[in-house]
Amino acid sequence: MNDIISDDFLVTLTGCQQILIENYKGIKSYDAGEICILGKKRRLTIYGEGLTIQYYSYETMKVIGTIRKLEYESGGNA
Amino acid sequence: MTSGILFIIGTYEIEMSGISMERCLNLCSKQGIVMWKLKPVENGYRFLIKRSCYKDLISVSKKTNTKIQTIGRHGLPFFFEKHKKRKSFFLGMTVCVLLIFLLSQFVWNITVTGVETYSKENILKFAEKGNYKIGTYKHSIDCNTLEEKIREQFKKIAWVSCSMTGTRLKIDIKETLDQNTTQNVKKPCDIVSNKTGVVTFLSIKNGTPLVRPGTKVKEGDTLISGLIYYYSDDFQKTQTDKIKADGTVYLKTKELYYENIPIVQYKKQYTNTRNQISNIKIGNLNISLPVKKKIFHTDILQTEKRLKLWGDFYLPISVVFQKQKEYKVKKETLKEIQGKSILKKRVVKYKKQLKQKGIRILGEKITYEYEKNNAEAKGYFVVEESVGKIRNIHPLTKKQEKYITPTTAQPK
Repeated sequence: MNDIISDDFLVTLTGCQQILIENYKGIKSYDAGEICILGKKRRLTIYGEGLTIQYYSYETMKVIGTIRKLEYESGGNA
Repeated sequence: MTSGILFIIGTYEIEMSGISMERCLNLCSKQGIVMWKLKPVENGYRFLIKRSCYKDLISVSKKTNTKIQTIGRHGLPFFFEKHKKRKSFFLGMTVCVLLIFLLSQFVWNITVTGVETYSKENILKFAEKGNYKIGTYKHSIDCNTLEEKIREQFKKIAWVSCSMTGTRLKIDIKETLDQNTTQNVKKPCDIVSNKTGVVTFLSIKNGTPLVRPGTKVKEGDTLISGLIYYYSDDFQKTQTDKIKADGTVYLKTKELYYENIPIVQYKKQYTNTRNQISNIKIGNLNISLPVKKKIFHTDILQTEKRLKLWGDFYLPISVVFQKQKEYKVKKETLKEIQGKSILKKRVVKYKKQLKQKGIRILGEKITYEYEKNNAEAKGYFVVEESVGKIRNIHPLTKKQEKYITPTTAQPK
């Protein structure tokens, strides 16, 4: 409930192979080693290898591959 | 799972290129277009979308000035669209699926396992009499009723389990109970003795024991009753319940042994073997193929192999293989030592079989005799074995009721 009130990402990480993201605005950039996702308050960058978006809809996206690092930056609308 | 759904609904494989591709992706998601397997390629992105979302994607791409290229079309709707002129093909496919579905609704194979005293044929004939035969609609088969009927008809069967797997009716039988056997009854029942002897060990899981170690029991006597009696403080019966009796009872019994072999024996020396297909059976239709005539002194072994699609999905088609083994007969007369040696080997084999069944041999008395025509081994084994078979609940006799009634008397 907190994430919706605070307009923040809801991230579910399963090991280092799968990540499920909700509550985002869209994709800023995407390649096999880095995915930058825009949120309402901040930006989330996923670093890894062989990253593939298994599905991408308005509400949820699921990324699979080898996830090395997650990085948050302030300024989501940027 | 997802791949299966995508295959059924049909998908377009799209390659996107241009300057503002991410904007296009985000707009698509806002329009309700779900993108699957989105991955970057050399000049842009490649992904799958639902067949119904294609028009929306085109309008979004025009708006964002991105280039959309259809790489492939996958799934059933496209397959049907491509082959819509081949009506007979689809008709054939539908008929085939319906036929397989229809065939899967009937019993095409009945197997019996675990019989020793009774023959498989006997059990199958009995099942057939009760309308459990090949070609019966499988949903009309009541395995519980069949189990009950088999237990009632064949008294030596201690445990029976019937199950339907695919198009096969499996009848699994045990004539001797072992510790690994789990009772599969669904109704309240008694456990009765299937042998005559003396109780040596008793372990009750459910039910009222009617015997104790040292009690002499006859075949058919109730060992554990499924009736539970409740008593008031003044030892008056207030209530009766019926449950599934369960437990282990060991009995000391006397197994009679008799074996004889003729002194003059004719042994077969096989010279030639021939294999061929002799018959093809389709339902009740039996097609006999030409086979080489039987030569004098030939053993014929026939094995029937039922065809199946997969697993337990048997078809009503079977092939009969025939093996013809020619032999020469050689006459041999056994000496006393030879006869005794053969009989001793058979006794050892019999003891081994008893041990494999979990039966403990406590003692034995076997004598060997050599007569004019026969060599004989006769005697008995004293054994300890697990006994008990399921029977519908019978009311207790007055003697049994007295046995279970609690008293104020001190135990002896």
